[in-house]
Amino acid sequence: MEKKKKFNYLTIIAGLVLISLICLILYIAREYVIISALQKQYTQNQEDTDYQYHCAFITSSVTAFWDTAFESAREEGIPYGIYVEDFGKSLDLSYTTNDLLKMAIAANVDAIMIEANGEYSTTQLMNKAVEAGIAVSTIYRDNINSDRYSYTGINNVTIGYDYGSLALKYANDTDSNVMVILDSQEQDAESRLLVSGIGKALEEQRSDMKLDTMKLNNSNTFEVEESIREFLKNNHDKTDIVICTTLQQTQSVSQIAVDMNYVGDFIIIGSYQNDSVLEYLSSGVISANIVIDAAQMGKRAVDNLAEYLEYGHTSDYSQVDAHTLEQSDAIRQLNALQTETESETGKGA
Amino acid sequence: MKRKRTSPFSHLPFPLRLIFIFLLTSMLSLAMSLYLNTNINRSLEQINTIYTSNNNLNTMTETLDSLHDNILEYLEVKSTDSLNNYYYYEQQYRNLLSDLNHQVTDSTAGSMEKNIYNISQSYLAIADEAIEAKRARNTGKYRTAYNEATDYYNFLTAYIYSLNNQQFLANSRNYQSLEVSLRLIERMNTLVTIAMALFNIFLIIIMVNQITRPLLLLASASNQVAAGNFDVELPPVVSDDELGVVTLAFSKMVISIQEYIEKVKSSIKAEKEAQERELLMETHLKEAQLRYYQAQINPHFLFNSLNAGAQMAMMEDAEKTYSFIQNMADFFRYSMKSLNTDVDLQEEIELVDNYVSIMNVRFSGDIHYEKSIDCDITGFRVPCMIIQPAVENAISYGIRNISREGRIRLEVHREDSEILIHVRDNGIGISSERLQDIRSGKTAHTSSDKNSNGVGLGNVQKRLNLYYNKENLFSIDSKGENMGTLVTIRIPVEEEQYV
Repeated sequence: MEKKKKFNYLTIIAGLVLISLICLILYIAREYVIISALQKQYTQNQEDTDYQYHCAFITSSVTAFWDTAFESAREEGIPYGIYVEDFGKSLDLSYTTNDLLKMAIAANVDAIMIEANGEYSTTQLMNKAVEAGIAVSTIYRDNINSDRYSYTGINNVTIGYDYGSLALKYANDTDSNVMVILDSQEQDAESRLLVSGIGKALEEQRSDMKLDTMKLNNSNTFEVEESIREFLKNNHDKTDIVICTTLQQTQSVSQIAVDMNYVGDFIIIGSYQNDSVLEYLSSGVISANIVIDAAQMGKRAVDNLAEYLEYGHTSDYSQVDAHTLEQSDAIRQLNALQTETESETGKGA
Repeated sequence: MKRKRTSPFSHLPFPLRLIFIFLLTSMLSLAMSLYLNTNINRSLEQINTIYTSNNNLNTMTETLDSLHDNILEYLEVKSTDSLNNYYYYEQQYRNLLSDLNHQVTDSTAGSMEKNIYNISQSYLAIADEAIEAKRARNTGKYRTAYNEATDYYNFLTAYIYSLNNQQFLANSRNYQSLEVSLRLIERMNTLVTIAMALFNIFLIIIMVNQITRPLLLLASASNQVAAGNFDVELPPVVSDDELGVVTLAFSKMVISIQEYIEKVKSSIKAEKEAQERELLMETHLKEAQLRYYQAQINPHFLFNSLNAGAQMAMMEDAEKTYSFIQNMADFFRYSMKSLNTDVDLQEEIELVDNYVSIMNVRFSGDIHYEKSIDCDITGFRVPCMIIQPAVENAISYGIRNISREGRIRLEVHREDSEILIHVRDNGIGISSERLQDIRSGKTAHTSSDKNSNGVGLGNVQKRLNLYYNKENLFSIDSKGENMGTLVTIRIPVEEEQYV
């Protein structure tokens, strides 16, 4: 009997120890998994994917439009083995297009996609890059004097014609003064083509319409809004239709119209889109917008580059589509956005 | 004796097993400590290397600054020191560059490193160009080259600065992760130590149990044996160690004791049976004696009277009477001295001779007695009064009442390990039915009439059985009525010798 008791006592202790041991081992295994995950995260931070080509994507402005274009280009480059870098974005200082070009040349990249301008120094640098064996292409804005191999962007005449058509669509019979606000970065040739496109559209239907242009000096970012405000303050009763060619212009004109109670005094035809532009469109402040397909632009630019890198030549010009955004479209998009937000909130809850 | 193996170490000696337990637990603890130390060291090393990239970039910036300063100094004063320094820092800078990534990659840091690497190569090339132009005193060229080099220097400074910032942010995040990881490792180490301790306890319990369990079983069995219970379940021999030897010896001892007890029990039983048999034999002898005493007068008086009668007959020259009385006296003397003991077979036969001669006087010589002894019977001891009752029976029931000549023949011969004594008569015999009854004991073929000496054949048979401890030593046969009777007595030779 004593023997049995002793045996049970030892068995119970051994059992308890074993159970504790198993629990502890399970807990340790869990800890080990967490530690492994943390260390894996550390290791993954140091792992990269290798590419074959390095392409510098150089633009002079930072906007949602360019973000979309760059993101599209980056994604399109992956299957081709082309790493598209938003050149200079990782630097803590801002650099001019020319500086970025110099850097890209010095960094010996394989290709450069640049939002060009008509400056001579830029042309020189672009040519220097081409001489260094770098595939240089222009995007959105072209530099026809450079040795770039291709341009991917809009046709200014066609876009101008679209602006003119929209102006006519929303104009009353009495509306006759059309003001086109031009960006100072716009090259003269491009501006001329754009304005001629608008003029052509207006002339086709309304020969009485008067077309004026205003070139803003946007060397200082804050001057754009001030210049527009000053202009509208003096000319809102003399202007029937205002055509904005950039997003900043569109937002500024709309805001000023609301602030100064000019809504209805003139028709606003805008460019590009973001959430506030959609709001202005849906509330009728802006009559219509011309939106360039930024994603398509980035994608086509990379497709051209891939073709050029593979075959040594590609299309000299790839046109990017533009479409019209009106009040009904804006309301539909806003509703869709709202539904999406609600569903995400619901999921989050 | 159960013998089973429960452990592969059961053949190891006891001290070796204990040493093995201590060594095993100690080694496990040591291994665990080493593992934990390695874990912590690895984590500390990782933490130490986290900010290495920042240090390298700082060194790179310093080297680049020195390099550019020396280029400027050389271009301004063309000193040998600055040129030597230029070469020194250029080499240093190239060495630092070799650690940078220069493959195309989509990681921000990797991409920046590649740009730094390539811009640096351009910078070094143009710097070299400026130095060479200075040597050649080509002022215009080295000025242009220096300006370009300065541009690149500024780009590089900006890039290294930005990369340093990014690396610092990333490294800070990694540091936080590793710090958390280190804290978890510390906690895990504590838990692993506890787990190891528990495992050691478990191991020790199992081993101790394995060692002490047979000991406890042995102790329990010993207690029971000490309390007198020899039917105890013997503890199994589970090992070949000292404990196994003790268990085996204990089991053998218990089995030996059990066998010895069995032997003692059986000898006591045999002794008891022998005593019972002896008692029974005495009872039968006493019965015979009682009958004998009842059947006659004081034998000493009769014996003395007969001697007086014999002397008187001698004096009267009555030879036949003298012989008769003398035979009577011998017969009674024999009966007196040997009824409760064994006698020589020769004496038994002489008693029969006396008896027949007495009976022939009674029956006027009608009894024709013959004897045939075909073997040496000297020294054979037999129970007394075993043949005379058979002869008496032959006379009384066999030939007494027949008209023809009555014959009695006594035959003694040896057959294998027995001496056979036949008493054969040519009397009236026994019918088969009666013979059956006699053999089955329904009818006692013993007379208790006044002519008998009191000892019946049944008594003879029982005494023979008891004396020799065997059955079937006495038999009566007859071929039928008027065919005579044969009484056979079997004396086992070995038993006789033994007795």
